[in-house]
Amino acid sequence: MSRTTIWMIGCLLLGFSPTAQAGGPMLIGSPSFGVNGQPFVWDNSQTIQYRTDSGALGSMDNATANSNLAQAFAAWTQVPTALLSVQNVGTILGVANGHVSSVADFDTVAESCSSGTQSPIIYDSTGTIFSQLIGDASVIGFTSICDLNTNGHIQSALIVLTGAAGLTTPQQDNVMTHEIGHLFGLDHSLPGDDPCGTSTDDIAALPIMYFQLESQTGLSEDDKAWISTLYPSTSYNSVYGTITGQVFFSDGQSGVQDVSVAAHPISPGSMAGENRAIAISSISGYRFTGNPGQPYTANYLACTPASECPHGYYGNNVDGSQFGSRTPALIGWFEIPVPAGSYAIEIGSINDGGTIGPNNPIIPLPGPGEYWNVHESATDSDFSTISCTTPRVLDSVTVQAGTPANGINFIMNGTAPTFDIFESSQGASPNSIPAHPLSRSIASEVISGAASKQ
Amino acid sequence: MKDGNLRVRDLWCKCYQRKLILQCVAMACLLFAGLLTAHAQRGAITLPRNLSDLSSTADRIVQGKVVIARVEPHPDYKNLKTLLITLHVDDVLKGGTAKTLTFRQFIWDIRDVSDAAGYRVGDEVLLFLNRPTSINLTSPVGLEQGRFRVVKNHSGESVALNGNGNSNLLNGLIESGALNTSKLSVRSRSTMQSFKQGPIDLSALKESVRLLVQSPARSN
Repeated sequence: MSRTTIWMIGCLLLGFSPTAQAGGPMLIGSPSFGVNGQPFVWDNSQTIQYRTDSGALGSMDNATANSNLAQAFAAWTQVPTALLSVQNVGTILGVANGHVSSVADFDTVAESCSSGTQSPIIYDSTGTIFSQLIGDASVIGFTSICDLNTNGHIQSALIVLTGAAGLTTPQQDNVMTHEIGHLFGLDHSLPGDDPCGTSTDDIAALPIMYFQLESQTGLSEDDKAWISTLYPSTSYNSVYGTITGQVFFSDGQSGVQDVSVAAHPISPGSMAGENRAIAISSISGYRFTGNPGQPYTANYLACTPASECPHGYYGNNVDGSQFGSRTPALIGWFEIPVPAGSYAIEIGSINDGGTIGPNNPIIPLPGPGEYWNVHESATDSDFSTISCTTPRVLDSVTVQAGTPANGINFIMNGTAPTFDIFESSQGASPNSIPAHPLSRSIASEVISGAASKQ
Repeated sequence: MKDGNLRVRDLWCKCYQRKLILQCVAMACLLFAGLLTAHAQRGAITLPRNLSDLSSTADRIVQGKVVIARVEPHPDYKNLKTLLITLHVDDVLKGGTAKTLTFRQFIWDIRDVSDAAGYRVGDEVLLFLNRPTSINLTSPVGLEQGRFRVVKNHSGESVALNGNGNSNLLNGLIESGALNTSKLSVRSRSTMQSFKQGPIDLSALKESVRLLVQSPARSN
């Protein structure tokens, strides 16, 4: 069995995703919306104004909740290399006493948020709103970007926090900080994966924008780097440079999207060869569209009936998502903002099931992860052959502040020329769609609260 | 967690020495999965739910094909964006037995509005659905955790994968006896006992779900 086959089977049967996700912006402009290929961000020449609920948040009274929320905002705005200012301008508009106490209230503030009138932070103290909107006790907070303009700016957003989840105050504070990261336009993030297993250093590197609450104690280097990149202050270029490149299939030509690319400071002589307690990461193709129907999945998903989508297929890079560039060169492209220094760079898989980055569902990593080396090829060493018993010797990229280190390209090993889970080896979709017209003759049932009570 | 991480490294190295790459991969998936405590949707954070949680919490568990996936306002609250999903039901594991099923899900992330949260006509799915709320909104249990996509693997067998890559799906179930694998077929038993993370054989998953539904784990 070839290594390629082993890895493909491994990826498919085991869903090999040893927990690598990457930081970066949540929303990217397309040719028809925003600034093509550029993140949607707030206009940081102005103070971002938000409004708070007048109610309590679980065991926190309103004053405490507001104070903790302000501290959570400050964690972001006080990053020296980021230029952001925020102001609590009062209680939420349009609802009695500034308190969102019902779905009707939520509907009202959602409208005003969508129109760009306000950015409300809602305290659902008893979980009533969560229970009616979602009906799932596992959900503990969410953020909605409400309004975007054609200039590529976020105009308004709302955050909903529940006080009914039994979180400790530090956990609730972390939820606040995490959701504020989303409000500022950040996606989820993760520090990459160690081929020899997750270490305590990897845990220490977890960003607040990691997709789970863990032991974070504040913003990580990843959080600081990305908020600074989206909102650079005048000192940004004296601190940060960038590492850019592309991730390619083994043909060395076709870009691979949805690959986590992580940078760690080099640490010669150590077992890991790098300082894994510091990580900054990106996703290949994060500026490209998440449309299915990209070159490697061209027209794999037909609409049934065809009238369901304009050209008969979902996502042909004309229709589909309003987000992301359609420039093919960006499919495998990544960018990692890092403080000046020398870094080892690795690629790995994204986990989190399609809820990070442009694609939903995510595209599984088509081959083994690997470290970047100066002689990148489709036959160099990768994670399947790495030694975990001797100190790693890793090639590094040296970055100067204010200067990009370009052309840090990866050629993955043992991949098909193009590959994703939706394609068979013959190029046809294994998930091809038989005709499934709705028949009036078969029983039909609509779930409803009233109808389903048993 | 610290101890767990150290064991990860040790076991990985043993794996590597034996050149059992696939087992190493599986082990890495499993052990890191053990570190997870909460999972995120787009723009949200959720708490973990294993297969027993999913099965017991779900009001309905159905397998089917998506025939309608449309984003539209809630009929009563025009500013609530919702996803209207209609399934042609192929199999019912819990709940009603109708051949088609329509539910409405609240979505808050602008990307989900743009791409119908990744639902596409023709997708085959296995959904663990919460009981509808008082305003007729229904979400998969644990959001992405209770939403499985069904696809064929390269052997032509149907496998299911939820939005968390099936991580923590069987967390503690077999060890605690909550999933009594002795009551499963030999093939399913083998599948479930060896399962770590990633796509899971659909028939084994469904057989296990049926068992959990028939014999729900007692809550502690």
